[in-house]
Amino acid sequence: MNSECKKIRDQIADLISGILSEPQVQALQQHLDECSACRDYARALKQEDELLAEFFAKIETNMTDREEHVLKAISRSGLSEQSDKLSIGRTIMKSRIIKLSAAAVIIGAVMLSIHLWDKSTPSAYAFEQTVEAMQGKRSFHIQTYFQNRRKDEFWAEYDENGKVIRYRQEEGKGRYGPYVTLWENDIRTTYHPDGIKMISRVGNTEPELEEFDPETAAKEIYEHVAAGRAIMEIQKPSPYAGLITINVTRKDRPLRQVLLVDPDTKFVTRIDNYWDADGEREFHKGIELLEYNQIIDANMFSPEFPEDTITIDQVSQEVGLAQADMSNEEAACETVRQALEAWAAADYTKAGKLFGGAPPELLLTERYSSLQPISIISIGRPVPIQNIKPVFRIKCTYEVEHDSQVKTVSPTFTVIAVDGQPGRWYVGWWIMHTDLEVDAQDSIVKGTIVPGEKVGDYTLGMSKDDVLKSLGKPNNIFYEQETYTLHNLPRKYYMCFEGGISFLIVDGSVKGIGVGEPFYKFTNGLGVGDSEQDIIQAFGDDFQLYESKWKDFLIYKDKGLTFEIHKENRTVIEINVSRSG
Amino acid sequence: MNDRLDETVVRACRDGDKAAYAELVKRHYRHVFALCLGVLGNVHDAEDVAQEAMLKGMLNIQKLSKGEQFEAWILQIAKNLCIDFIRRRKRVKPLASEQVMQPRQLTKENHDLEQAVRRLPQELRLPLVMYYFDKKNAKSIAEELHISHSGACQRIRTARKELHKFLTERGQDE
Repeated sequence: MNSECKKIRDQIADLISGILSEPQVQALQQHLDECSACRDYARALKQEDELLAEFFAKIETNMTDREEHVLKAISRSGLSEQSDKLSIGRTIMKSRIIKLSAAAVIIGAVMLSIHLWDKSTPSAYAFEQTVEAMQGKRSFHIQTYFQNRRKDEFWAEYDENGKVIRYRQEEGKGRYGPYVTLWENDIRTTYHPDGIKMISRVGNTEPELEEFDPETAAKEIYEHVAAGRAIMEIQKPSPYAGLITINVTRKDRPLRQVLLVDPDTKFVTRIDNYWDADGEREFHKGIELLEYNQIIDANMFSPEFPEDTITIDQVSQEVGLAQADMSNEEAACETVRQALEAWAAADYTKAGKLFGGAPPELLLTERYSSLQPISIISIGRPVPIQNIKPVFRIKCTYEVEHDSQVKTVSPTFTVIAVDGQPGRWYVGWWIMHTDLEVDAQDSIVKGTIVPGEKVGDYTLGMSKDDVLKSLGKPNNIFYEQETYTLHNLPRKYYMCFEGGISFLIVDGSVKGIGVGEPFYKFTNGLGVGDSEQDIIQAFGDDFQLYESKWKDFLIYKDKGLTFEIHKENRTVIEINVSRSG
Repeated sequence: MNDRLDETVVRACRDGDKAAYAELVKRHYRHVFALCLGVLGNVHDAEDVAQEAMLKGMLNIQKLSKGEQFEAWILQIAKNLCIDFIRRRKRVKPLASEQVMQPRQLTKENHDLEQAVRRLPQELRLPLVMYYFDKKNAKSIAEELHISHSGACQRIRTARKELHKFLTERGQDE
C-alpha cells in the first residue's frame, strides 16, 4: 500500500459514512478504478456497513420490550401511586430546613411500598429511617476497605443541593506517607510523596466521589430493593453489639452487602460489598463512616505541601500537543516524539510542556537527567490501554549518556489526553521501565518470588515468630479497622515491615506474602515497578480482573498470585503471593 | 399529548401527574439506552444501566429546575452511572466473561461483529452506536459529545477502520 492508498482509505471510510464532498467522490472513484486493493477495501467496508446496520437493527427490535420493562419497574417502585403526596410535598418547600424534611417526606412516600423485611422484625426500625436520616448530606469522613485491608480515607463537603464542594483523599500509607488528592472548583491537586516530591494540578476534572458517598449508597440500595432487584433482611441477633445488621442480596448481580446501622442516629456506619468472583472466592470492598455532617477542619482542604515539592501545573497553562487532524495513535506518537526531541535539544520549556506541564527543574533532577536522550533511535507502536479516557503506552528506544558512556535505553512512555484541554495530548512525567533503572535495581534485589511458595527466605506456612526473628519489629499490624500490637494479636491479621514486605498471618502462620517494593523479583526478572503488559506477557492472560477506583487487580488464581496495577501508569505496585488454586 | 414540551411534562410530573414520567420515559429512553450501549458495549449491561438511569431520574426529578433540559440531564445521569458501572464491575477477562455470562444465539457473523464492536475503545464505539443505532449524523454526534465536526468524522472513520482490522484479524486467525 503506497502513501496515496493510505490517504484514500480514510476517504473510503468517509464515503461509506456519506460525508465526502462530490469532487472528493469523483477523485476517489478515479483511484478505485485504477487500484484493485483499494477497491477490495471499499467493498469490504461497504459490506461491514451493511452488517452494522443489520446488527443494530436487531438490537432495535427489542426496544419496545425494553421500554415496557422500564415502565413496569417505574410503576413497581411506587412513585406513580404516591405522586399525589409529591404535590403536597412541593407546596411546603419554603425554607431550606423545611425543604430537607420535605425531601424526607417525599422519600418516605416514594418508598412506602417496601416493607419486605420490616414484617420480620418487631423493632421500630425501618430502612426508610436511614434513607431519611442520611438525606441532605453536608459532609462525611470515611475509610474505605479492600479485601479487608484499609485503603483510602476521604473527607468531603457538600452544598445544600447535594453537590460536592471539595474533598480530600489519602491513598495508601507507604514509607513516604500517603498520596493526597484535593479536589475543589473542578481542580484536582495530587501530591506524590515518593521519590521526587511532586504535585500535579489538573483542571476541569469531575469529583470522583460518587461510589463512596454513604447517602447515595443507602439510597441506591433502597432503590434496588424497591425495583425488586435486591432482597433486604435484618440479621437477628446482630453479630455486632449495639448495631443493627442488615443483609442485602442482589438478584441481578453476584453481590451481597452487609450494612451496619447505628440505632440512635440511624446512619449506616459501615457498608461491605462482597462480590462473588467464581462461586468460591469473594472480593470485598467496604466503606466505614467515621463522621457524618460534622464540621471538617478547613486545613484538611488546603494544598500545603513540603517546600521542595515540584508543581506540575495543567490549570494555568496550556500543556501537551494539539491533535489537529491526526488520529489518536498518530497524535500519541507525535507527542512523545516531539517531547523526546525537545528534551534531547535541552529545550526544557518545550519538553516540560509536552510532559504535561512539568517545570524544567523536574527534568533537571538527577533521576530525570539520567534519562535525557542524546539521540532517538525509534518511537514504538502505540498500545492502547483500556481506560475511561484514551491512554497509550509507547516504548521508545534512544541513547543516553551514563557515566560518560553512551547507552541505549528503552523506556515506556504513557501518552494521555489532557483533562479539560480537549484535543491535546501529553506524555506522563512518570517514566516506566528503563534498562538503567533495572541495572540499579538488580544490585539491591534481596530475593526471588516463587509463586504459590515463597518470597526470598519467607515461605508460606512459616511461623510468625520466624518472620519476626528475621525482620524485627513490624511497622504496623492490622485487620479490618483494628490495629494491634505484638501483645494482643487476633487470629487473623496483616503485619507490615520496612522494605515493603507484608504478611497475612492466620493462626500464627503465614498465609500470604505481599511485596510492595522492587527488592524481590520473579526468576524472569519482573517485579514491582514493571508494566502490566510485561506481567501479562510473562504470566499469560488467564487472570481475573478486578477494578477498583485507583487500582486494577490481576488475579492468577491457579498460580497463587495477585498483581495490583496502578490505574494511570499501568505498573505493578504490589505483588501478593498465596497458595495456588 | 405527545406534542407537549419536556418543560411542561417535567412540571406536570413534579406536580403529581401520574402518567407524566412515563411520557418522559417513552420520549428519552431510546437515547439513554443508546448512550449506555455506546459506552458499555454490551446490550445486557446497557439495559440495566439505562433502567437505573430512568429510575434515578424519576426519584430526582424535583432537583431538575429547568424542565427543558431534561434530555441533557438524564443523559448525564446515565453517563455517570455508566462510568460508575465500569469502575465497579468485576470482570473475568472482558470478552470471555461476557460470553460466559450471556450465551446467545447469534449467527457467527453477528457474533464476530458484536465482539469487534465491543473491542473498540469507548470513544470510538459511542459515536458509532450514535450513528447506526441512534441514526445521528456527524453534526449532531459532534454536538452531543462536545467535539468538533471534524473530530466526529474522524472518530467514525477510525471506528470503521479499526472494526475492519478486528474483523479481518479474526478471519486470518481461523
